[in-house]
Amino acid sequence: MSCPAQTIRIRTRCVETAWHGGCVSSVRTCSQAQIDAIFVALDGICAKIDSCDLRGLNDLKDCLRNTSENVVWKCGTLGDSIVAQTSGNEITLTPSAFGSTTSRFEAIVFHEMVHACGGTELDSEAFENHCYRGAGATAPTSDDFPKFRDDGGRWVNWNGSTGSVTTKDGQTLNVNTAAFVDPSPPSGGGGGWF
Amino acid sequence: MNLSGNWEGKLLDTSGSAARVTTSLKLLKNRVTGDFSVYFESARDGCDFTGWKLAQTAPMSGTYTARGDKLRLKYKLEIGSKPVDVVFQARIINADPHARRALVGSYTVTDKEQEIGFEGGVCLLWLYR
Repeated sequence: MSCPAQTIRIRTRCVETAWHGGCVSSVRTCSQAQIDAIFVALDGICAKIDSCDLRGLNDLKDCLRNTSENVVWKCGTLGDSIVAQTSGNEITLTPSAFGSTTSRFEAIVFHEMVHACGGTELDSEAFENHCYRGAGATAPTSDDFPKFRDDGGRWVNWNGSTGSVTTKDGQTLNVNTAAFVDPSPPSGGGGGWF
Repeated sequence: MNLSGNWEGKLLDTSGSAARVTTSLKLLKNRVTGDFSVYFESARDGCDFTGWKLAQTAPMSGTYTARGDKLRLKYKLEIGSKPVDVVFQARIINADPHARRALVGSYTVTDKEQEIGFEGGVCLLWLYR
C-alpha cells in the first residue's frame, strides 16, 4: 500500500484490431494532463485521510489509502450532468470534472473513492461534506435524497428531519445540516385519510 | 469583510472567452494588492479536455470600497505597455459547504485602447480554506 500512489492504472481503449479481432494497438483514455491532475488529487486525498477527523473507520481509511493505487481510472463522458461515476473498482471522470477548480476536483475524486470502497451515496456525500466542507464539497442534490432514504449508509446514520449525520460509532460529522435536511420526507404511517 | 487570500474561479467575457482565474489578494485598509492569472483550456476537442494553459499573469494594485456585502475593486493590471484599468463590482457571500466565501460579480475593462482580449464580463471566485 502506498499513499499517495506512486503508480495508477488507466483504462485503455482499443484503436486497432487484428484480423482475428484481438487488439493490436490501444491508447489511454486519459491524457497526460488528466493523469497529472489525478495524481495531484490523490496527494491531497492521502493528506486529507490523515487530517480529517474520522474516528475509528479504520476499514474505510485503509481502503481509501489502497484505492488510490487499486482503482482503474477512466476518462470519458457520462450522461446528463454527471461529472463522475464509480462502477466496481473503475472510476470515470468527465471533462467537466477536470474543468472544476482544484479543490472541487479533489472532492469529486474523494467522493468516488468512498463509493469504490463500498460506500453508498449517503456515505460519499457525508464524508465529502465533512472532509471538504469549505474546500470543494457541494451539498447533496434532490437526486441524492431518495438514495439516502432507500440505501442508508454503510458507515453513517442520517437524520432526515434535522440533517444530522453521525458515524455508526456516534461521531457527529461536520456537515452543513441544513443541506442534509430531507426536502420531501416520507409521510408518516397511519394509512390513508378514510 | 476580509478579501485577503487565494481566490480561484472562472470568468466569462463579452468577447466569448471563458477562462479559469486565480488571484491572491492582500487587503490593507482600502488598498488592495496582489496578482492575477488567467488560464485557458489548452484544448477541448469534443470530450478531450487536456488541461489549463497559463495565458496571462499580472500584478495588480488598486482600491477597495464596500457597502454591506457589496464591494467595488478598482485596480490596474500591469499587462502590456501600460497598466489596464479594471473595475470589479461584486457581492461577497457565504459559500458553505463548497467554499468559505464566494465573490460573485461583473468586471469592466475601462481602458478600451489596450488590446488584452477581455472586454468585460462576469466572474465568480471562491476562497477555499
